Amino acid sequence: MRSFLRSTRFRRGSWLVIVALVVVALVRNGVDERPTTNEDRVRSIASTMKCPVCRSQSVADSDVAAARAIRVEIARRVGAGESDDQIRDAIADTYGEGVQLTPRAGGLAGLVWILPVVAVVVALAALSAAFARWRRTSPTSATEADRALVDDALQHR
Amino acid sequence: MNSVLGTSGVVLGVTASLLGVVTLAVGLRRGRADLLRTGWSYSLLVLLGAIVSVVAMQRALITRDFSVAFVHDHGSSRTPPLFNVATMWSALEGSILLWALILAGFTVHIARKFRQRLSDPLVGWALLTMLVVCAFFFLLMLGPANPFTSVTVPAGYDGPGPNPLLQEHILMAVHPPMLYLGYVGFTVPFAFAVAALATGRLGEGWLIETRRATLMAWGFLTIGIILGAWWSYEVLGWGGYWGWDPVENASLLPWITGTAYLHSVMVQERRGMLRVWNLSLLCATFSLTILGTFLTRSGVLESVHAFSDSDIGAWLLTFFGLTVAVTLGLIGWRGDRLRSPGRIDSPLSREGAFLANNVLFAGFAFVVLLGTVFPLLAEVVQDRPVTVGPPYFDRMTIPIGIALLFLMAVAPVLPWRKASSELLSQRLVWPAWGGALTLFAVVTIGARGLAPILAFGLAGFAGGAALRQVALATRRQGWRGLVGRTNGGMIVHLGVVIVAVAIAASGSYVTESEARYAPGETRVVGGHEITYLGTREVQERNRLATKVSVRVDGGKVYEPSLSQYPGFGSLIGTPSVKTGLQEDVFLSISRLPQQEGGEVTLRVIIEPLALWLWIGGGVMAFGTVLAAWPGKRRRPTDPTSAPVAEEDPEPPAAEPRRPEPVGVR
Amino acid sequence: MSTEAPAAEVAEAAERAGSPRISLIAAAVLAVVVALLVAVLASSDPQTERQTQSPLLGRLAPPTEGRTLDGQEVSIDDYRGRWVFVNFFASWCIPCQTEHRQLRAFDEAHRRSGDAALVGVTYDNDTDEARAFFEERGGEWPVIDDPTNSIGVAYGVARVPETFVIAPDGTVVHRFPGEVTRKQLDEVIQLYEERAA
Repeated sequence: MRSFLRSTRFRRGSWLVIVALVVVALVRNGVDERPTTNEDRVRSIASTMKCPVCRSQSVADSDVAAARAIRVEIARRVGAGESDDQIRDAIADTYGEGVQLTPRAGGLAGLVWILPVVAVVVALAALSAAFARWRRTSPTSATEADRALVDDALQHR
Repeated sequence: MNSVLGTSGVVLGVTASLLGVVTLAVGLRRGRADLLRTGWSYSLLVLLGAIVSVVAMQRALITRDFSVAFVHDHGSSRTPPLFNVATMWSALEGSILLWALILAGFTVHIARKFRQRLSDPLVGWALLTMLVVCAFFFLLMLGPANPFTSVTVPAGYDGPGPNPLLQEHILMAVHPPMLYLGYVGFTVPFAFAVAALATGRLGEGWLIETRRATLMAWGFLTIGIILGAWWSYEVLGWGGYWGWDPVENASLLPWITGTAYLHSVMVQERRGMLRVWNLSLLCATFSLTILGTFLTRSGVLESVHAFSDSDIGAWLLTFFGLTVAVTLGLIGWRGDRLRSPGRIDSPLSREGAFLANNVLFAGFAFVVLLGTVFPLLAEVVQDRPVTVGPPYFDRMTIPIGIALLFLMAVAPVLPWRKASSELLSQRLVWPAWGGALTLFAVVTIGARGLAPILAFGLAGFAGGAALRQVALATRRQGWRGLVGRTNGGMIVHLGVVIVAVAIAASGSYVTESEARYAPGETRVVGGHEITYLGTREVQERNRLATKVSVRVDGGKVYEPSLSQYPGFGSLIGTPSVKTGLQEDVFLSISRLPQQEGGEVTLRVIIEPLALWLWIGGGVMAFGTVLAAWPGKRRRPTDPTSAPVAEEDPEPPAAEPRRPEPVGVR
Repeated sequence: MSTEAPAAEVAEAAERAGSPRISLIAAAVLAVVVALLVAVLASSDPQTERQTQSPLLGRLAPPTEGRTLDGQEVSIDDYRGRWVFVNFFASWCIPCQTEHRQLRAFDEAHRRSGDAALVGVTYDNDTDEARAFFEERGGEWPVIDDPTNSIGVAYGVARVPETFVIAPDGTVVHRFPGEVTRKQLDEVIQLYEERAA
């Protein structure tokens, strides 16, 4: 048994089964996404709006009157069949752009989305450049000074 | 009396640290060992000053000496004893005092640990740096954050007590000290980084010497952050534990860079590479603690913790600017000469994984920092305000978190230098089984949504990798297989995996309801029976509480409450939580009944696996202790990973192995 | 201890590798970024001093109509041609209770002159409680009962009391967050009439 578990055959089979399990799970997750109820939508919209009088709480999380009022308004608009963006725009229209917890993709606010992506791309480019350079250069060999240093160190330990 | 005693402590601290800075500077410049050795006495004097001030403050708080401004503003005879002690760190001035005490403690710790080597310029520079930071914090207490200003009080005066939110939960007594131990602890490696840059000596000796201090600082910061999250969960009443509030981000930023450092420093110890990068991470960690303190204390950003009634902001910002200028100057001046000529052979290696880890953590820190300060940046350019809230942070950090989980699964099995695909397939097969089965199981029991199920699956994968490592190490070494950096680190990884699972579950599968309940009425929320029993008023020593009795699942009665604290206007809501291994039932009051026997509006939130967040935090802390556990002193040339000879024969070394000059002392 | 390589030798090693001065360049770039950040932070006002303006200012007032506490239908359009003050309040709010006396004085004065009208709107308030509030404290102006707070949301009311000033042409010209006095309300009329003249 033990030797079977260590065999190459077992390992190959394992990887096949593992990949199959992952694919099946992901497909199943993809096919039956739960239908979103109106309540879910209200909650998801409310969680992207800032409660106008609170500190760092969304409309969904806060219990103050204004947050409750906005929740009711969102529910009313969801019931009236408006789209998520329409509702967000309507609330931002009276409470100011500052109630949007998610900055818009366009304009100046869009920078907050773009800059991190740019940073990651630059970092990855720098890394691949470094690997390319490392591949070109041969491994450095130790100089006499290095060896002396090591011998000195080993004597003094 | 207390005021005088406290002020003299502060003055002693300022004088000793400034004199110490000057003496050490002269000693370093002239190369005089006798002057350098005085560093020990100066640091002792600074600690003495801090202790005297703290004793004076505690004495003033305990005796309710309202002639001390801080006690006048934040103390009260009604505050229960434990919170009375904790009042010291419930407001700005006292928290700076706590900071100074811990900093002085670390300074003495370093001076003691290196007492044989005080005349070494490297240690001299490190101690000098610590004393400069000490001087800054003590000067704050003479300038904008003076806790010992004296005021005249009318007879019979009683103070308002600390902020009610901070009186609500025992965690408030421990969370700030833990956080500060973490914040301040990172000053130690930072000081050595500055010393290394200033002297140009980058030997890895000090890395190893300060390793335990760095690990403990990281552990305390972790505990502090987790306790802070727990506190907001138990007290703030919105059912969450993390709101991407500026103060939370401020504590997270140094944690991120610190975590990146703990990983990349291993590349330096093992391969002698990334030296400048590691120094930069340490400098960034320290600068970010100062920047975070500025952001949260100066009131430029909205935060639950902002105290905006002081000009401390200007001081902190100046200090931040100076710190960055000096460290960047040092790195720019020395950096290129200190860079190592080594190279990384393959991205598919342990060091390659650490590099990827660092890119991800750097990106993580960048996102959090950018999101936190972006509203201020935007305001300079345009009039319309921009808010950057939790949805932004969630959307940006969830992919990073998932990538980190994947890395956590793969990195521990990667060998140094280069990995073959055969080796990977062999070492990863069991962790991959763990991941695939977890993924399949959660989808089978009905979990949906790509991000959470990926998080569960990868958590299984990463957990499997960590367990594999621990199992192999304990099989070989017995209990010693649990201690030491690599093995303890795997326990920390297990803690992270638990936390990740808890975050994914409690963030994605919340059931929430807000409804009116008549007395005696029962409603079912997420499979739990919630029965409203009645309301009663309770006069407590420090507050008038209105408690609502709610029976959950026909069993125990829970009492969320709304309390009125004298001296504070608004009502403070306190939720009540039925904690369970599977899920928490979180109860808070939205609206009290308007008349006797009326309906109450209750908010009920069912949060799956929330308890595991705190358990995971505990495991992380435990793992940190194991990682810092004094073990056999390892020969620096010994392998640190856990190769098992029979299982994975090391590829034959192409070149004869020569000891590298790494970590030798 | 004695093994730490002197800087000169390391520098030699770096030169051997022929690498550019990356650290210096990176440090310089970062320094510029941080300097900008510090400049921005230093010039930011404390959050508490930032008053948010209402986006409604200068626009036509949102529809403001409904059944009053007395059961009559009322709309602010009925008052077109006059200054209209829309006051959001709740009986449970302490500043609303204190400003009530001021509102009464204002209403009585302008009811006679007929140049301005006051319209109350309930906010997060039970109809019965609001009615009791007026019975106890007096006040003759129409109060729209808004149990769903939809009017409040349309005005972007954050915290009661709030008072909006609507010019005779129907545009919103001013917003008072928080408690108001009769004097403030009178001054607003004066200010805008002078500006118009």
